Amino acid sequence: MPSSAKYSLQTLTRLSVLLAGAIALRLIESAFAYLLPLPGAHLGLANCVTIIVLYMYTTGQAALFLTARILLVGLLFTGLLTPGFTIGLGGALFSFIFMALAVKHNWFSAWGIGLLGAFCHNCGQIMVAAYLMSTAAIFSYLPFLLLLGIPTGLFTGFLAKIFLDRFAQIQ
Amino acid sequence: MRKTDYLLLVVICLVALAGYLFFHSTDNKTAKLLIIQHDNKVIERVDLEKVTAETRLDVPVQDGTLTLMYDKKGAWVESSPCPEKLCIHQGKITRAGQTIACLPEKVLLTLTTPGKEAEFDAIIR
Repeated sequence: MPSSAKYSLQTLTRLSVLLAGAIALRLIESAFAYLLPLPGAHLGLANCVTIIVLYMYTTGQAALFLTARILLVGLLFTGLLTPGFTIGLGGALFSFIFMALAVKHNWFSAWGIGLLGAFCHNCGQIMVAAYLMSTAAIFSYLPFLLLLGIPTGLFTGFLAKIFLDRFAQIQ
Repeated sequence: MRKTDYLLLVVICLVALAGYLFFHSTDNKTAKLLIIQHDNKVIERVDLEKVTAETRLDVPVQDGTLTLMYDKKGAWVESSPCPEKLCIHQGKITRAGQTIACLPEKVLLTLTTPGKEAEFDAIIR
């Protein structure tokens, strides 16, 4: 655990509010998941909050934020270490690594970060699923997931951009 | 959006297209073989050409019984004890190369062609 001295009260409070928001969004989107055409697909609204945190805080703080989110969502909804949890974890880690790199080096705008996050999340998920099932047959889903990830990724990136722009205005 | 964003968009489209062509290039008309696996072991191989009527198959799994159905054209999961029922929502698979996976119950249905079966065996280890 990082010492509390590294986090100002303001940072800690803001991260906590964002965390609560991310968990609430995750709950809402899993309630609407049945509307999407592919099994296991979801909008990735929680990822939108990860993007916001990556832009506003350091990579280390964002990593702490993501760890807390994954554990809490696991405890609250999916259950820890179930196949669904492990697959989601693979996706989340994979997309976090690449999004963190891309934000740090300023490769894309928020739109691109959303796209990249969705793309890497799908790849990571499928890789973990293929490992769990020990079959490569599952990769045949990937093209559909990737195509679906384009609108959802752009959408989350767009939402993150609105938030960041507005937040910069109030600051 | 920036230039690099569009570039990423194009790259993702290309990857998806390449993946689609790679996995779905199998000829639709050739005889289809349904392979049913549970816990990484092949439990049933069905030549769908020889199937005349809808057939039911009960697979005993961890949480109860998973019921799947197949006919001349394809296969689907009728009922499953798993919590999310994603396998049921996937509906019917009808083309070689398609799969239905029920991760919690470790059941995997794959449609393949007799020619590609050897390749399939190599993949599943």
